[in-house]
Amino acid sequence: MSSPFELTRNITIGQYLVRNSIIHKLDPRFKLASFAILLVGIAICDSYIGNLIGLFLSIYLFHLASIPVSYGVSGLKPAIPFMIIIGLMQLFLYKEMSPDNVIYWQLGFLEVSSASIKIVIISVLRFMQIIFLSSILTLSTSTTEITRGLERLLSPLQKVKFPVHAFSLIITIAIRFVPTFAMEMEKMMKAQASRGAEFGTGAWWQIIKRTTEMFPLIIPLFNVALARGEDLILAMEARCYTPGSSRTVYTQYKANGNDYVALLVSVGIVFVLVFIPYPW
Amino acid sequence: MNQPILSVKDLTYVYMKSTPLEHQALLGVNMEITEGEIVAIIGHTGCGKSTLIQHFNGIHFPQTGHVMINGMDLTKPKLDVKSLRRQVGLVFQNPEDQLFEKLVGDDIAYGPFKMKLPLEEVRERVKWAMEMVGLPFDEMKDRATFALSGGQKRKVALAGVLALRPKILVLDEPTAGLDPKSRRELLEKIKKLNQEEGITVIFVSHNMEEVAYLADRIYVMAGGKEVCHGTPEEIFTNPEIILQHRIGTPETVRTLHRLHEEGYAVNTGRFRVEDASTEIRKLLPE
Amino acid sequence: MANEPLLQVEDVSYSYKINSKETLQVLTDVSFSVQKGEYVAIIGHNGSGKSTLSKLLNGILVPEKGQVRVKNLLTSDRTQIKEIRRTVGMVFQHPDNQIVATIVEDDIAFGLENIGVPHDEMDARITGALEAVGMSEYRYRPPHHLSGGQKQRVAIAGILAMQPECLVLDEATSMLDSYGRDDVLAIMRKLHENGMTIITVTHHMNEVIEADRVIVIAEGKIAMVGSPREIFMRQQELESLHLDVPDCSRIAKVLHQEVSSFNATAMNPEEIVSEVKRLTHVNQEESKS
Repeated sequence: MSSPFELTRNITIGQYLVRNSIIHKLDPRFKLASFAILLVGIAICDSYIGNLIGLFLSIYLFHLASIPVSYGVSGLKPAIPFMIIIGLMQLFLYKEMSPDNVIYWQLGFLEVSSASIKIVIISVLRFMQIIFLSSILTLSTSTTEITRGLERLLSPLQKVKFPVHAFSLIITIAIRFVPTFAMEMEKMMKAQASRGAEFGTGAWWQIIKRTTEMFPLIIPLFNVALARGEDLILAMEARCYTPGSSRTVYTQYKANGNDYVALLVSVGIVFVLVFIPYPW
Repeated sequence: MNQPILSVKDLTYVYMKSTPLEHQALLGVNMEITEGEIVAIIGHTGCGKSTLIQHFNGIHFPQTGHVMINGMDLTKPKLDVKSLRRQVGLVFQNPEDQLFEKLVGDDIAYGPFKMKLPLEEVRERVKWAMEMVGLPFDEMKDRATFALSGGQKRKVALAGVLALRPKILVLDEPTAGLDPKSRRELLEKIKKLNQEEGITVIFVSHNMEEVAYLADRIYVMAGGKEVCHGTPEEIFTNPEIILQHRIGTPETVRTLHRLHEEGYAVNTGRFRVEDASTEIRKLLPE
Repeated sequence: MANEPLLQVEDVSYSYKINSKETLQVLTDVSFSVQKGEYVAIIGHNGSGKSTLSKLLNGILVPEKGQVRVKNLLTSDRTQIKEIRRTVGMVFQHPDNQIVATIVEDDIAFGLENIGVPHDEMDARITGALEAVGMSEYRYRPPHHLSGGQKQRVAIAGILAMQPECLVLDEATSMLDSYGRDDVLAIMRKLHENGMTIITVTHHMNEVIEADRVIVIAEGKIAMVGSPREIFMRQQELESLHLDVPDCSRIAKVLHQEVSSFNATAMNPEEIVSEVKRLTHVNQEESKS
């Protein structure tokens, strides 16, 4: 039996796994750019076959990154409720005015049609691809690399006075404290449970009851976050951090052949997904 | 003769089971604790002691092996977790973090209210718990929790668990981060709870002075197993165990050991300051 | 002036605003100075003002009245603040709350980037700092899997890489287990031997034994100053300030009362043992003659 209190168990986004794979070794700038390009491709692609190819390729990436696929699949679990809600909304609310759209069911403004069924299936496929890709990105790239890569990619924006460094520092710190707060939350749940607290016992329409049940968690967590934040500011100041002042940079990246290959492959995949006219 | 109030048999536990991050925290722990004892569990960070004590009130359930507490078998699927948590009070590390009500009295009353006790009884319990930890009920019950000192907050958190009227009190590093005065006070309260109310106390600690002061018996854990147990005298007089498991020892014990090594006839088990002084006094000329 | 002190605290007072009407006086007219290479322990119970005092030492807080100078720079002079903070480095209580980055080496680089160390020099500094705290093998690891003691050593390395002249540790060991604490104390000892000025703020008496000088703070004022030996002798005063005395000091005191030739200032096991040896040895000589 697994414990009900292992919060960190199913969070695959943000958990870097140390491996020595080709994916891990990519230059983060190129990895991020490839990621962005693939996302655009997935967003545009609206055929079944294209999305299935995309799904297959994103699963294959787990293999390339030496990360068990099961770990990526478990990352889907927390997203299932969202997928269901969005799916239902699309199923009943999506409308398309085209001659070959068949309407199966209609009630007031609700209708289920062949187009809405298609869009639900496509969205589910897209959603899975996005979760898989983000999981691979964060499992194979340390958050430091992600933010450094992001900082470097965004650095042209500095010319228009966009605070690129502050921006990436905010992201780094936010990500850096995810596991810390997850552990904190886990401890808090355990501690309140041993005082007799129960979470999520009210039925779903008892919103007030369910919300007040969470107070013993939310309030202490908020206090802890505040205290940690204050500490962190002091520690950063003590290490001479002053927002906006000039800094030097420790990590410098040099792209090699693999990085350009990855970028080109990503562009190629987007072409395959978007421009080939698949029959369905 | 005496049935143990808590017994652990061949208990194992794996964290994050079947994920790439899984790791084995417990590898077959055995333990027996009699009613009315104070037992210390000591060992390195990561030796599994926190995981072990979280089994005692149903935060974790045995993956393999057995835990019996006051006649309840924790491996049974139909276990009444609520009733278990009333019998075993678990105080986490830095429990002051868990306070959430604005007023001291309300926070302590949270547990009893969750037990759906009548108001009169809740009040009675809060009062008792506050007195037990040395917070005067009339004066303190309407104070704001956030304005208390660290030591007082910890007492409030302890009272919040005591108000469940547990038979067994389990504490994880009860005095970590407290200053000497608050620490001494808290230790005295824990001892009093044991002596006057007969509550069985199990605690985890790194502070050997504290272990020497409180514990009737010590369990030493290393690498997810219990490696030995005995009275403080037995553990502290055994230099091999101390060295092998890098158990810190109280300063008094260290002094007596050093004298012993130098060939002086001292009883290294006399670890209280007065006893150690008497012991050394015997060596000195008139 | 032969030796200008590294740190000068002159008539410093400080108070916190509780709300618009009330203020809480934390420090009142505190003065002391620290010489280069000294090892100073500041001790006091929670709420005595010792933590506020430590934050005044590198300009995180600025005194309300009086002044703090670091190598003759006023901490109230905000244009000099970087210079002050790279001279006086600071390690805090919570191991978790002072690590910024998600990889150990990046965290150490954070301070270096802030003070504009050129890229070519950083690598050597990071290597040196990690070696000094014995954490070289953890260079590429994420910090959240480290133990409290290891995190604290990383935090110290982050400061050391900036090559400060003085290290302030604000209750840096209070959240650690005994091994973690021993490791950190050993690092402090080694740094001190190599000439680093160390100021440690603590309520653990066993940690002040190695200091050259102890400053006891109570109710926002300096209550006692002296060598650890001198301070430990004043057992009753310390107890009235809610502070502890090491067990060995207690034993020495008891023994001194009964055997007046026993040195009452012994404060650790080694000193007790050598006193016992000295006295029993004398005794043997006497019985021989």
